[in-house]
Amino acid sequence: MNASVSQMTQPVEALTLDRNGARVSPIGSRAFLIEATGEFDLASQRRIWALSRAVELWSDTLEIIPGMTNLLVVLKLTPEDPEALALRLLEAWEQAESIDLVGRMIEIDVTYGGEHATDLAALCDRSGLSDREVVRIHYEGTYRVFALGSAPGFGYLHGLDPRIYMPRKTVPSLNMARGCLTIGGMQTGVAVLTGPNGWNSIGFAELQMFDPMSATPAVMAPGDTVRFVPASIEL
Amino acid sequence: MSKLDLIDPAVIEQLTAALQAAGVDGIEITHADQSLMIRLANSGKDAVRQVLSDKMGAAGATAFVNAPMAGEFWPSDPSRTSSSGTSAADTVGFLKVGPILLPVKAGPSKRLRQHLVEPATIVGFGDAIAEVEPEA
Amino acid sequence: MMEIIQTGPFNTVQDLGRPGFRNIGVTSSGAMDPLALKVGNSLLGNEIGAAALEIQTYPFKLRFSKAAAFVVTGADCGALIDGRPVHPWCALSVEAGQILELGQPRIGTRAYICIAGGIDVATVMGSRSTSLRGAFGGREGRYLITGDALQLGEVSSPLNLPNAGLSVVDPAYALADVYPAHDDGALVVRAIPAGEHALFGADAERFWSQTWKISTQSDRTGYRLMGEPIRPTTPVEMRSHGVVSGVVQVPPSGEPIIQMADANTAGGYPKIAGVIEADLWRLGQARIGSRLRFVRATHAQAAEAEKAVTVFVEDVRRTSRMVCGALQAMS
Repeated sequence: MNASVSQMTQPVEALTLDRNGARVSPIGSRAFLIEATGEFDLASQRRIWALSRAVELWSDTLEIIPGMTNLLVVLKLTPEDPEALALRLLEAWEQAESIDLVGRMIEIDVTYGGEHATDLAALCDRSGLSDREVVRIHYEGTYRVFALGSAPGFGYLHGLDPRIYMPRKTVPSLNMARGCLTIGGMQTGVAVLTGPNGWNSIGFAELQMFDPMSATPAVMAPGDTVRFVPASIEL
Repeated sequence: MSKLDLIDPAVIEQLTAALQAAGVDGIEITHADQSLMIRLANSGKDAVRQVLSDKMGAAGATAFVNAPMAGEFWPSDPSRTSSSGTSAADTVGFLKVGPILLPVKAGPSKRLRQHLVEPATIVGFGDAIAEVEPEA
Repeated sequence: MMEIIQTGPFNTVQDLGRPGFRNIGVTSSGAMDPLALKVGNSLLGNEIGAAALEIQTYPFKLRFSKAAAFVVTGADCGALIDGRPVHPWCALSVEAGQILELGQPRIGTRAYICIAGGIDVATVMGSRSTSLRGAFGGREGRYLITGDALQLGEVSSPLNLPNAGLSVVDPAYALADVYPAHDDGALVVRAIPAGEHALFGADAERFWSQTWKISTQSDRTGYRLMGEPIRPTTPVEMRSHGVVSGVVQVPPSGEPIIQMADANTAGGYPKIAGVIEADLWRLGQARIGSRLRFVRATHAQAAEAEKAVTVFVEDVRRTSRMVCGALQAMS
């Protein structure tokens, strides 16, 4: 323990390796994050998917968590040589071919507008579009599930039309209902839990996105294509 | 279980000889409705024998608590300060075996009179580790 | 079976958690002090990750509806059986009708009531842990309430516990050489610098040098720390990525958050450090309002500590079985 205290006086540097469009850094002792340092686009995400497939098969992998153009790898045990592990990850990244996950097509019935569309007016103000136009642009889009996270079964959807990008709220809604159709920055998704939420709600979907008792608890999976069907529009 | 009669003088004689041979200081046996305690004041030639053998509940008598197995004797939990963790009142100490602590009890309606071994002493199976007396 | 007679809020069924589902947004959950859970189960001859009750509000009282064996590990909260004190971390057999009672902890904050055979609630996604956010697992996905009756599992290879019980040395004592001592009353937590550490410039040094206080806004999800704020030299916009318990994130307020057992599965705040796996249980026993300090550790030190903890738990498992076996043979 004296050794660890004496290290306090030495400059503290993070173990971070940055090479060929990817960067590896540790989170604690057993988790390592590899981030694609290029564009936030489908091409980067396809390579992350390929990397995920490869790393999932490693015998020392406990869990993989693909994020938005990044991948968190949790190991079963703390590695004694983190640099070797980081290099192994970068090597896998270099070898990762772009793959396109053959996902399902998921159609979600939505009530656009109505009592749950608490942020539609603000989105109209910001975009200069009418509520009808905002809704049409949203349901005409085709979206890809990039990753799941944050809450059980929540899918981060890519493919939002830039005209209806809307930054997250600085003051979150305290009790947004499960099922709210939301926009967070350049992403969209359906809230899976009722609770505090910083995204902007423009409608409501009845679909249950998660069932813990099912063999496949989450309705969405990375690679799935999502379309929103305007079951009703209440403006 | 054996069918020993603990108040049979022949049995007591036999047990005493066995204790002397083993270099053990004493033994306490409770069995069915009988109890027997043999204490050898000095192991070796000049062994003085003190025998208490009676039906259960010999009031006023002191008794020995013997180590139920080999281990390191601690009068209290060595890993906890006395302010933390109240031990059960009738615990006379612990036998430490690796990380395990085996509580040693005074026995029903008995209380500790004195410890017979120093803290951290390695004791063998059957070694007397404490002397107990009936609760007041 | 056993029945909850008295409980505060926030007490749940937990095992070692539900890893493997963060990729669909499901929190790992699990005991905040996994070492206490593992030692308790090892002492009883259970599977190491059998489900137990995690108690964090007191007083707590339950009645055993049938004969059972139990041990209370973790926080020392003066456990009583039918009003008589039980030595801390001491496994005991009980008869039907006996009442176990826990008071305010004298040391630590979370107690684990482990039962021979474990708490038999339904397994959901590989675990019996309560996921409060997801409202599933444990007892109907919620806190325990008075009147809850819990089934006990079958014991596959039961230990014959001695009448006086079977105790274990405090892991903090057994592992004293493995863990840094408190520094002027502050818990010393070892951490490894994380991805955005360098972005904090001079503030990074203040992260390691100052003593932080655990705020009242702390729970199983995370601990918010109070102290002199630290900030990145320039604002960073992060893409959402997976997170695990132990990650130390710095939100715009500049006061760090340590994600704990119910950690969010994804996050985007810059992260300055990550607590090593072997030190998470000590955080799990840290009280609200108490102070802590971070010291930098290497992966090699983290691996060594992790190994020592595993060896200790294995030693408890092996020795308890050996002691019970020996006593039975000699009786």
